[in-house]
Amino acid sequence: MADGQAYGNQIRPTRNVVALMTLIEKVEARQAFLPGMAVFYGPSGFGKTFAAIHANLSKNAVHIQCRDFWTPKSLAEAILGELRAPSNRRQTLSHMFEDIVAALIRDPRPLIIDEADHLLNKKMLEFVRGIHDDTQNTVVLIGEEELPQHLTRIERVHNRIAGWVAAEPADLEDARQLARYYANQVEISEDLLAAIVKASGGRIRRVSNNLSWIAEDARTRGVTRMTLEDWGSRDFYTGEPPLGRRDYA
Amino acid sequence: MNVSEHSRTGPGWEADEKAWAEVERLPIFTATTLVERLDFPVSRARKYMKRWHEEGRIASCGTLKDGKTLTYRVAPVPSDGPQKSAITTTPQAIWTAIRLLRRFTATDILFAIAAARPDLELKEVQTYCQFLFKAGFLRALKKATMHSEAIYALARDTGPLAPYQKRVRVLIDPNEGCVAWVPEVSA
Repeated sequence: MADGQAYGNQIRPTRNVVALMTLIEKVEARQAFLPGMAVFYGPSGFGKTFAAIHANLSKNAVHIQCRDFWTPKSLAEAILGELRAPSNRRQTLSHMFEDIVAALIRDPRPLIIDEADHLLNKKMLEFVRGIHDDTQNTVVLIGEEELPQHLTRIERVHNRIAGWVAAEPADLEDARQLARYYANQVEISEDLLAAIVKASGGRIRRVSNNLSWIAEDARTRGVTRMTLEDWGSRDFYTGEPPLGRRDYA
Repeated sequence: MNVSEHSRTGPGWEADEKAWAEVERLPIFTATTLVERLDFPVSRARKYMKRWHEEGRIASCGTLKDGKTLTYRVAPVPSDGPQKSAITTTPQAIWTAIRLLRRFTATDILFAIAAARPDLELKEVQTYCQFLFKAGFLRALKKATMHSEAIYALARDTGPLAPYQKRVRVLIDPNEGCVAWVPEVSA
């Protein structure tokens, strides 16, 4: 079902949704003796979390969003919480590990760990590797562009990665899909969409912000169609900070 | 409900089993139940209640009329079978997306779940968000205007299962103009 066409003509998932779903399905279909960890990486704003939400819903995955200040015990508590396995705060980490493994063996769901860059310290990656080894469940690490480089330095984890997939910037087709939601009563011309994608650097968040902005402008002006010419020389939202003003520098 | 593996490892697990057997079939109980039935010292009975509560084996259900004595019931056993897919119910799909986005508009949620739940409409997402907002699960970072949507932030993340509305029958006393009885609501 990872093929975009399989979703019908009405709603097509963005290409990063398709990429992540394809990765998960490939790892799930692996031979029993092959490793089951995978990495989905890319710059922030490329829509990795949107893709992860779709994977979560479709695969009934256990989805964890790591925090910078987490310890291995925080991670274990978060996983137990998502599994709805009763957690006793006085338990040791090894007891919690056993509870997680038991729950995932009983109910084999993929484990998706978002913001996995935060796992790199404090032995949390070893904890995740242990869960994978003992359950053989699919484990997907989602992180920033540099995540694969960091992981290749940790041989025991690197050896278990079955697939590396990079998140792609939004393209024109993604922008068309976004326009259906963020500018649903306004027709956005192809040239304006292309300009938005270019100005947004392919970042889903910025594309949707620009579309909302243009739709709001169209509604205020009482028009139902917007072209690049209508938009004129006005700037798009690019996320770039404004230049310093010379007079006050 | 079986005694957890954790409590089996302790030296007094036999006493634990005996105490658990006393309360397991009771619809509601207090620490005094163990004092009266097993002649436990009050401190030991309270210790048991505290531990069972921490282990998730019992759930608190308010106090007695004195307003001080805590009452408990046995917590429902989590299902061992696979959890229902998050796609199956509308609140569950929306709640899952809310917990992952944390700061969002109704359109963000609709877009995030569109490929998995193409049947959902913006109005359904907005209605559920308003319900969560009224219940204090969400806070509004920006109120909706005629031309732009409200921006919400998740304020209370209580876990993976979606809060949902449930209608309950209550007994109203028109003489005193008050709700005379509310049934215990279970999820």
